[in-house]
Amino acid sequence: MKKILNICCVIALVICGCKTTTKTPSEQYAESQKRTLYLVVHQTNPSEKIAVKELRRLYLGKKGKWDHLVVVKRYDYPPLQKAFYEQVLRMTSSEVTRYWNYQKFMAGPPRPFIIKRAKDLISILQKEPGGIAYVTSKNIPKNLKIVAEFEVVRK
Amino acid sequence: MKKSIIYLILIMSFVFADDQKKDVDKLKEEIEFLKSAVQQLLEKDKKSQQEVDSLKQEIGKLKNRDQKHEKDHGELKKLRNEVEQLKKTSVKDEDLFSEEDALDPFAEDDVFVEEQLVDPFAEDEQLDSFTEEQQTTEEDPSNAEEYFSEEAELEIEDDFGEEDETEFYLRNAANVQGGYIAEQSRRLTNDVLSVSGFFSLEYSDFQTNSSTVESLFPSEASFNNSHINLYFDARFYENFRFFTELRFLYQPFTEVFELGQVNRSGEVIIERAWAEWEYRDWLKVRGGTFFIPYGIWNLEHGAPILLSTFTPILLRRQIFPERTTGIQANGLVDFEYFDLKYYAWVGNGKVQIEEAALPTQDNQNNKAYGGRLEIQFPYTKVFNELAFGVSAYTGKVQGQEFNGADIQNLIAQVFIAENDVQTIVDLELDGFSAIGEPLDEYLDRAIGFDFRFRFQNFSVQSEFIVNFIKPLKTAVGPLTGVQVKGNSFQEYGAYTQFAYEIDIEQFGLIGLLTPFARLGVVQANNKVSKELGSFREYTFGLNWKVNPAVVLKAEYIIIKFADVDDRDFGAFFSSFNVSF
Repeated sequence: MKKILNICCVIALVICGCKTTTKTPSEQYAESQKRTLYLVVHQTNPSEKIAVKELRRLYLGKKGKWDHLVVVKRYDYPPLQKAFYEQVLRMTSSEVTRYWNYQKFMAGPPRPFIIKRAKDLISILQKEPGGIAYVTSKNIPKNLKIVAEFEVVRK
Repeated sequence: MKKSIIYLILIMSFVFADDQKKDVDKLKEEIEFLKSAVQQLLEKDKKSQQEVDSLKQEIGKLKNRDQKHEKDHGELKKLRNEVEQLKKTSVKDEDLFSEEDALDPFAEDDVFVEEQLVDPFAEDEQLDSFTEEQQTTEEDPSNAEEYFSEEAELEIEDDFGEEDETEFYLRNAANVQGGYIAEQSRRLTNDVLSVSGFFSLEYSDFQTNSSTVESLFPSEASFNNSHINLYFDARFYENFRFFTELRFLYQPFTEVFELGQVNRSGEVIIERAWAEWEYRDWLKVRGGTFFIPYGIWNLEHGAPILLSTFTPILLRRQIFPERTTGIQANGLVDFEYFDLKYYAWVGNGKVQIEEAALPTQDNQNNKAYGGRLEIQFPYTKVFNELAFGVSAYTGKVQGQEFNGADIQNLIAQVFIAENDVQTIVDLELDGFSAIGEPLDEYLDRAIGFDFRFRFQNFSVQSEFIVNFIKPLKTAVGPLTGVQVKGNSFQEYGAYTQFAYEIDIEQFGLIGLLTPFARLGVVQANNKVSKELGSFREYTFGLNWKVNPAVVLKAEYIIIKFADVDDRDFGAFFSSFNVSF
């Protein structure tokens, strides 16, 4: 009887072990969609590190000028926009939409510009001393620098 | 004999030696010819060998390209499968209200192709290859779909992290969060002027059993183009901005009286027009016509973002003026756990619009002053949409100059319609007009408190305003001719609005449906005009946000007066709002 019980326990453990190690297709997919977001600014920008709170203020237009008094130009990159707002700024899509709708009627700050191609984004940032944007590549031109990075799952 | 034989041989050898020399020369010539022929052949061989090598190299390249093509096809299939899987597994995650949902994904593809054609960043080679590819695609339209996807993958190879992302975006354009992508992608990063606005079509129907009240409202249900508002926002220099909102009320006609009894009315109102200089985030100075910063409703000005069509009567009374012309300073200061917003302003006081030469011109030397403080908690989890505000205003008002809102006029006219002159006489004897205001100059002060909170789908907002009125001069009543100075008094009002947002996609419908209820109380000059100045307002309605740009509203309002039930009335309001 003890032997049977032991065997059952071993089988149960094996099954449980298998279950925990086997990933479902959606988990596998999520795993494959992991990315690192690099926040990029111009080399002349004195900011070396940007925390989430400041990033949120920058991207919501609450901070309109950098510390060196250059006007902030914010850029969104659609392929990673959802991941950026949800996982970095902790705002749902409806919150973001609602926020900018309100700003529009309250004469608030303008919403970030949307640049659809990373190549264009980098080109613009190179020419824009007050620009900030997020990309997924560390290989950026010399006149730009990375001020923050975040692990996200692309959605 | 031997000698003769030897001589003979010698003679023959001499003879034949000459012939042999000739043959050797010939042979030498032949050898030279053969040598040059061989050399030529060798050179030819060398050339052909080189050709063979280059051909081999080309074949190798072609083989590599085929392999890459096959690999790309494999990855393409894999991506498609993944996308299909994602669509199946995460249908609930789709944000139906991201404004981009309105975009046609096929249109996005078109945009992408167009973008490649005119892309200033694309290299010449890419353009050339694209043109060639385009030609082949035109020849065989059945390959179009395959062409687009392949082209997208090949074209973006060494973009900055874009290789994967753009492909993903193109396939899932409808699911990517964001708003106004189509609009914004057309915007240049250096543009200085943006134009937007909204349009409202309203339907109103007043219902009352009181004949005197009924005569004062439009008796027929009616459609109105109540709002055509245009916003112009110009950021013409780094620290400077100009903003204006023009409202075409009903029709862009001023009052026109003609002999044929035609009376067309309408106005073009400059709702806002100011220029702003930004020093820092904590100091912005603007001058011009602006909304008085108080409460929630007056700041969140715009029919598409307001839940109801009808403004609460408390606010229609304009205890705080709706707008003024003057100077305002405002800014935002951020602290560790909260943000603090402030406003301070000085401007023209309350004036009766009909009598002023210009609506934005003051009729006295005293100016009105005011301010507002607002605290928000955007960095907290639960209270990130909680805000408290306190606003204040002070100014002097010339007696009977300010007629307030239309509802106040209606109240006065009820007495007249009912031939209730005694009430008006009593009011005058106390030093007040029919609408409960002092007969002459008075000090007008107000303080308002407001809060709003949103937690997930539930939201609540409330405003409370107290008005302090102090008559400054003795006045002669127009009916009684008696000199009298009224006493100071207070009036107050409040409203609270509850709403719950429902995602009706789960019921197979489109958009967000928000039922809401609002309770309002107005207690105006209780001592002298309680009869008509004090009432409760109940509003029940639905707000259907079809998408971020289109909103439908319907509501029913019940007004219950404090003392006289006969005058109670109801009204149905509905509106269709489009923002752009």
